[in-house]
Amino acid sequence: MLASRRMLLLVLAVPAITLFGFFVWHGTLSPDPTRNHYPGEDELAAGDVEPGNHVSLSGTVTATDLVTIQVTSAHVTHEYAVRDAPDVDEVQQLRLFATYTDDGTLEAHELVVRHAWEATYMYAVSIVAALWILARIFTQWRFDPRSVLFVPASSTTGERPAADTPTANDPTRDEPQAPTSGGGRGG
Amino acid sequence: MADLLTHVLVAFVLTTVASWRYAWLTPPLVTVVMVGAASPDLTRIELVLPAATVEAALGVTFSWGAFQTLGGPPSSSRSEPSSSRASTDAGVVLLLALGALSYHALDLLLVSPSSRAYAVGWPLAEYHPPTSGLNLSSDRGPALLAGLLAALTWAYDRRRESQPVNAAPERTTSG
Repeated sequence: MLASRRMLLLVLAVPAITLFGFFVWHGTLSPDPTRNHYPGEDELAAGDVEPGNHVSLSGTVTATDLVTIQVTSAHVTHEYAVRDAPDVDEVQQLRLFATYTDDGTLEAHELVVRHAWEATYMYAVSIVAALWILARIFTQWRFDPRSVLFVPASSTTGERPAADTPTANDPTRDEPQAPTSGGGRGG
Repeated sequence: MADLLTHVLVAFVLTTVASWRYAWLTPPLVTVVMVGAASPDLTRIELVLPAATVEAALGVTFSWGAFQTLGGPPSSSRSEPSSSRASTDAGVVLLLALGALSYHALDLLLVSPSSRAYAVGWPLAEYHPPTSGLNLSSDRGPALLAGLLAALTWAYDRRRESQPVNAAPERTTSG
């Protein structure tokens, strides 16, 4: 029992540590334009982008005369003017591939405009999807506290002593035990 | 990314159709693939707990972006005990990975201003593959199409289930 608990702990700990390691490792990755990995919001805010280099980022439109976007990085927000921008409205989102110029503006090469409601739409349908998955998990899987694992709800694990082990004075005792038919395909 | 709903709908359609051929692909396992197809979007934890906050607290570099790669979802799946037997466990991990693959296949179709996608193959490769620019992640068309297909698939699946089985009844050993 102790050994199996240790095994379980190991089974849980190894992937958890691996995953944590992946997060830390992924955090060390830095942009490399030669590999088409361009600097983004964080690098621009940190002043790591030399003028003349490409950036790939998104921001919210705050001014439209001279199109200006507010770019949020880790803890700070900066505003940048965007040259060669199309007609946009405030609070629209811009995703752009641009050159960071000498005067601190962004010269847009490719640009995608997203309306504010489109982000709301995406969150709404994503919540629908998450609820659908959760509903399926709750109806099709159940937590087995004995093995500390999730098992399909339709599977019989032989843990129904009330039904499976007849008592001494059970009149049906002599009959051959019929397997409980609970293992069919669940809906 | 395409919206999460499209990813999950596509995973549902593909896996349900596959289950007509492969009887062992039971509805609970269809759900596993759907979870796999949603798993790369766990990068959205960023909205609740920014990586910068984790970095400040732990003093190490950190990025939730690992979820949106080949490396992240499989290793996270093993941290959630998902099945009773080691052999099925490996199968569950494989199904999760298949779901994640369908996610990346769809996302490589998306419009990207730099015309390059994220480094999908990390940690095996830091290559940012080109995107086809077929659709925007906020387009409604893909979700509508996937929803329609899912409804048809679901209806046909119900029909199949309710029809009397002519072939010899097979005993599925799920679990």
